Amino acid sequence: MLVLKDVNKTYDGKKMAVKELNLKVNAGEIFGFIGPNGAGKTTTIKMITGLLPPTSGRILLNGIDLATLPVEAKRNFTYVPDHPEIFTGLKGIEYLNFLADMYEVPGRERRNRIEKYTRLFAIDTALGDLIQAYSHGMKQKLLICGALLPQAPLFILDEPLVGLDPLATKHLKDIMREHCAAGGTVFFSSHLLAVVDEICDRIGLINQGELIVCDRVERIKNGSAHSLEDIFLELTKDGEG
Amino acid sequence: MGKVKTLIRIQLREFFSKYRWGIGINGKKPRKGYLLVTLCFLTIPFLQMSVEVYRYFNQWGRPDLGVAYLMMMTFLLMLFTAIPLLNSIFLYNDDYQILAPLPLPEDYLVLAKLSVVWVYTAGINLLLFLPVLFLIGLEKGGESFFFLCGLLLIILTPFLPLFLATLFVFGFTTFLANRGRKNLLSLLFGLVLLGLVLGAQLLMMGENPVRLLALTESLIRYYPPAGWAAQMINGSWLSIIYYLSLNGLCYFGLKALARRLYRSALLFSGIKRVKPKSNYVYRPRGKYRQLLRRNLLIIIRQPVFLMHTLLSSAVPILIFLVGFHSGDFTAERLSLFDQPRRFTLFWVGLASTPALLNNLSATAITREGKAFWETMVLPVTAWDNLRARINTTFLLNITASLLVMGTIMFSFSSQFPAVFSGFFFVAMLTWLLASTDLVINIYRPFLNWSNPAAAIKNNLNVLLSLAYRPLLSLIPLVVFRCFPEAGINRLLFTCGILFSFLTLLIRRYLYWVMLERFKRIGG
Repeated sequence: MLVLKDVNKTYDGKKMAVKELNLKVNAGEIFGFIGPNGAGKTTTIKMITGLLPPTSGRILLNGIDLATLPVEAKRNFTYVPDHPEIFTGLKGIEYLNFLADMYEVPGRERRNRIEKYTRLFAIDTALGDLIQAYSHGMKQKLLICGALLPQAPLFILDEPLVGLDPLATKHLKDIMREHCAAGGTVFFSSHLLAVVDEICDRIGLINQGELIVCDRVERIKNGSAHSLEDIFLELTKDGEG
Repeated sequence: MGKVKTLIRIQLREFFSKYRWGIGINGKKPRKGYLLVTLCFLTIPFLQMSVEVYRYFNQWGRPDLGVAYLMMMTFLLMLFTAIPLLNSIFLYNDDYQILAPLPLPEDYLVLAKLSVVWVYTAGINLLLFLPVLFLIGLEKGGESFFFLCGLLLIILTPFLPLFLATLFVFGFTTFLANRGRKNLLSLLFGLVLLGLVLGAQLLMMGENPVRLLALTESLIRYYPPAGWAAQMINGSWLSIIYYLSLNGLCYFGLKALARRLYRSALLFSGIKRVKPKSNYVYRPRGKYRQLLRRNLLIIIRQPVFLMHTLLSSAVPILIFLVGFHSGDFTAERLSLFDQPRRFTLFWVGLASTPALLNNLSATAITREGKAFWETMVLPVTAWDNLRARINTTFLLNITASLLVMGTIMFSFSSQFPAVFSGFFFVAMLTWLLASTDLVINIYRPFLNWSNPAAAIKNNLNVLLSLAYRPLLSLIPLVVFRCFPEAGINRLLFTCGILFSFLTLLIRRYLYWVMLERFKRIGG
């Protein structure tokens, strides 16, 4: 579903934010992307979503090269950023309709999906309000509803659980599982290692721009009694020091 | 006292940082050139107006009446500036969650907020009064009494308008705050302020001198501080006592009212309206239409952007209406019947003004701020994304031009020459400017603003886009020189074709060169 081949990113030709990143995320899996602050997670996600061009390397979404066919590639995913910074002059319903039009979701389906997801995340009564009146958590929920609306095969989320209440967190985890069970893919970054441990099929650990581990959670643990947190701290020790 | 000083300093820094952001010097060593250009653009019209007032009244031997005239003018200017400013600082500021929990007396917070409004209005007052007082002072040989009067006029004059403005904002808030229509206030008073400035300028230009002197003298009766100011200049101690007493009362009244305004703002900041669920519309629209609609809504739903756009669009209509009703723009004066060519140039010039003043494309990317990423991850081409921005500017400005045309047509009924060629000229010029300004914004995207005013006001992009506009006048100049005998229709069509040719070149440049740069913005 998502392939990164020899992806590099440098800023100002000096600082290597991402080094020789090779990654393959398969259809039907939840992939957790973890790493310490400044490791290159958000830079990688920005490159996958087309917000930042890689210095070198290729990014393929469902086999389509993002650099050569950006519009076709972008039809294959939806994205929830780490900060819910959206244009707040729209009403919630206008924002969702805008996204539905961009992904060409037909009228009847959009209605059903908007009603379903906004009710699930308890923002259905606020859809007529301007987004500027929303709390941080409500904006996050609106972004998630917007990303679910087109039912794109790949769901990319950068720190999606920040600001969500426990019930919304549970719903989102359920949706991620359902999406993957139906053949979709979820790529998400998080610092909440317990959640990553709980729901991810595979994880990739990035540190100082390099992917240092990419495997199934149980294989990373290798039968030890250590938690994912202990392993994370052990693997990123050099970078911290 | 140290705490209140710090608080005032922080409030002032926070408020004026939007201007620093706008000219691209925040966090860096200020570039003197930028600052100088910006300050010149801002202050020259005020200084010029003050000198004009002095010269006008001095030639009739009444410079003191010039001070009275300025006093009335600054009163209105400060009143209509302070209302939206108080509204924004007290009611729209989201710093309450930081300020309110601080272990400081409420009075300190109120004083700090008021000091921002005072500095701003006293700045306007200073710009208008300084030249006139300086020129009168030269005549009087620099007497210390006159110096004292000047100082009092500059420092104290803002208190009365500030008191009245606070009273108005307080009343308006009590009436409207819980109905979510606070934006209306900024918009309404912005328009009044613009009409006031234009009206005062036209009055100075067109009014009979003797009548203006009489008018100033009679208006003093309705606004005594203006009369006191004139008498202070002439050496009256009694007027100084009156002036000090009035402003002392206003100061204490202002503090008491501002405290109440602060409390009510604090109260309203925590209230959220609960609305019943409405019947939402789920009708699909085309992608491009949605992009256009989004760009329009970014302007319409943000009060600062909306006010800026409306004011820039309203200028030509206001100029025409004020001139038409004051008798300056009559069919005879504009030589409508004997020189239709001259009249055509008049209306085409006026109809081109929205495109010339409203450089919306120069901030089309900037206006989105941190939400810019939204359209970049969507399955739409970068070119469509760019085109939608150009066409939004075109749509808004051409609508304003059509309104100007309609107003002039309506005023002169059937007599309206060269409609099609004139409109073609205006439309092509609007298209050219909308495309060219976007090049500037791609070069200088500036997305990291926290206050919407910083995105559009005093932004260097805006100054740059205004700077190249005079060069475009070379096109009609050259065309009119090359074909002096040609009819006006042919000349306007030729210019329009040249504008469209230039636009096509700019669009090619946007497509082949700037598009890649656009894709990298915000990454």
